[in-house]
Amino acid sequence: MRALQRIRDLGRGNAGLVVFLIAFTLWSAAPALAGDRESATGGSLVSSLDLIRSVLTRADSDRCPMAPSCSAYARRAFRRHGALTGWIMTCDRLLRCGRDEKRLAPRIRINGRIFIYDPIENNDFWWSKKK
Amino acid sequence: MTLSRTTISGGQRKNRPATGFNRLMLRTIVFCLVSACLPLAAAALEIDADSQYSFARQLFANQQYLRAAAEFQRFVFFFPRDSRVPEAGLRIARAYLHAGRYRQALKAADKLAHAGYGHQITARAYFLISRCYQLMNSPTQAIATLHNLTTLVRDPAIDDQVAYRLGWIYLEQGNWEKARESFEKVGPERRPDLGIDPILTDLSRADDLPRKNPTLAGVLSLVPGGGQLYCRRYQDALIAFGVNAGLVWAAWESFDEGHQALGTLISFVALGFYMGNIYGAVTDAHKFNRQQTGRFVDTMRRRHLDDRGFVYFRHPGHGAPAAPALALRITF
Repeated sequence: MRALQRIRDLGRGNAGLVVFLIAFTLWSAAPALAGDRESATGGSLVSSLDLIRSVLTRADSDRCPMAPSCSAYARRAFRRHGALTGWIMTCDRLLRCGRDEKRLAPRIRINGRIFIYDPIENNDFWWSKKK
Repeated sequence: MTLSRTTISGGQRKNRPATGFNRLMLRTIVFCLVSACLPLAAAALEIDADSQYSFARQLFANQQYLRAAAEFQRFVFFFPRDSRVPEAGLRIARAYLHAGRYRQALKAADKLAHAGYGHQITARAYFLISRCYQLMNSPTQAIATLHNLTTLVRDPAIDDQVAYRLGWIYLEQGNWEKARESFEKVGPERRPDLGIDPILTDLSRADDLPRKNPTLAGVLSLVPGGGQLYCRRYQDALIAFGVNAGLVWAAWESFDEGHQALGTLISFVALGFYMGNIYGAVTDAHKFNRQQTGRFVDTMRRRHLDDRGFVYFRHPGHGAPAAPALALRITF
């Protein structure tokens, strides 16, 4: 309940920011929806992911057990399929991260660490012809 | 040059008769050295077709494929009239194929296919081209190449080989029906050699492979986690249900409390996770089917190809969980 209260407080205090963020995200998705994927890829979503990777990952370390990591996966998904599909694929990946994939996906060793290998090609092979 | 001149000129200043003797000695030594080295030089420069060919073959046998390709090319260049030139051409293409240089292999095989060496060499070149396409993940091109060969060369033995190879290509694609049709086209004389009947017996089990329906998985995921449960991903199912339920509840509470902006934001995120859950379930069903197909194909290969001198190649996409690749054999 305390967490919910915090979220409520966040909503009260930053309503304008929240609306701006949604509008900004939808705006950045618009070129992809219109079919202009390249312009979307250079947009704010990828930049936001870069920010997460450069700031947050440095702060809380590289803990994702998957390869590529969830942020790298999201980056590729946005670049490859645009904002809407990229967003859906990213959510799917976040739901799967480190769970049943541990048992089902192959392993890969990177810099001495073992990761669960789950590239984007393993998740769009059934509908995407892109290589 | 400058050094010797200085020495000789220095000698001239000191003692003329001694210089004459020195010159004579120097010439004698040079003559002796040149005479001694000439046979050696002649022996080193001599290129024999047999030794060149066997050297290239040895490199190939030692799996030094790129060096082998270079040596076979040298053989073809220096001995263009040798009867083994077509065979060397095939080996160049094979060497590139083994080295993973598929485009170079394709180029070499294509050159050979159009060189007019007779239908046996042409057929083998076409088989190589087909294999190159297959390894480059272009099975459609591989199939088209084999069909072209059957129209180009009228030979029942080659037709049987084509049918056999088409069968394996279809099998690796998971197209059991077409694979069966192709294997059944192999003539009765060559069936025992190619082991067609055991292949067909094992292939009949492909229809019993467990499958997951991607559409059903997607529909079941309308209740978050349902599709994952259907695909036997129990942890994913639990998380998908928990995350979606939590987000929907949070959005509901936010709207209920009058926090429209927060409710909208949470709904936006919840919608993404809900669609991700459906997408994930459909993908999981496809992955399950692909894994089953990969395992079956691997079993088929192990049973029917190992003893026949087939060569393993690997490319990403299929295979058992421990191996992130699909094993693929080639034969020539």
